[in-house]
Amino acid sequence: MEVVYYLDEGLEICPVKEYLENLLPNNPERRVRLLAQIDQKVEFIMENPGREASFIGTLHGHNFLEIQNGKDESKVIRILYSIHNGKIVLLNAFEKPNKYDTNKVKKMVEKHYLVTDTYLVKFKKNPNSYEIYK
Amino acid sequence: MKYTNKLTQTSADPIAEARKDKRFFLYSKEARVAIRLAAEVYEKRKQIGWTQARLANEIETTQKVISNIESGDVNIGIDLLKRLADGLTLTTEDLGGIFETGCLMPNFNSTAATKSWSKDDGACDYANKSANFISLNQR
Repeated sequence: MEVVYYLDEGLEICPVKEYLENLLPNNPERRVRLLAQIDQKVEFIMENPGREASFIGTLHGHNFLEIQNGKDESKVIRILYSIHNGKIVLLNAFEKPNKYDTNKVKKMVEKHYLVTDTYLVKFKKNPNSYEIYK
Repeated sequence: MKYTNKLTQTSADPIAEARKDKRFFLYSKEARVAIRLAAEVYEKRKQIGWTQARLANEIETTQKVISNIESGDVNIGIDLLKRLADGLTLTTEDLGGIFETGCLMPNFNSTAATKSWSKDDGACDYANKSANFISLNQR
């Protein structure tokens, strides 16, 4: 199974690639460790499509899943992806507090999910809008 | 500018760039073990029908520890691994699948194999502990 970054033609960016590029630029050791962890979780999904795990989240009302990876004590990285035509498409990424119950954070999370819905619709309309992962 | 070609690259792939760092390989090996253990623990726990809190209670730890293990973000000590294996009745085969990382040598119990690893490779310390654990578990 191939892994690709969704490429948004309007924004001219791959949202996940951009997120990873800007991840902890001032802490190279932690950055490399996080990228290795995320890469291994992507590889796990490639090798075990459909297998459930605590670090793979299903999202009610959305046609994509999320990879969860701890960033530090208080934040979790979310990589939102979908499987389409035999490809794992990395759609969007963001981070959120590990525990939250405020409306502000809930709204922020829901906003990311809604944006990702539009990315998935656009990708399905133009399945060539992607870049190869690694 | 319209991108409709998969060959177009907006910038270098950050994962590919990170691979150039010598630490990336070691971190990947560590992460691979943690992720496989996470998936195995989650799967076995679900099969038994336990909550994280119930498993924690069974093996005398906390729900937070189980949550951390299942997140795949942490590597655990040998004592906790043994308690998990006992609590979830993980077989040697299950554990072999978890530790099949390319770092661990084919024969877990081979002293010659463990000695051949580089001493500055942290993953191999982990591997040695795992090998000892398997030895203990087989007694």
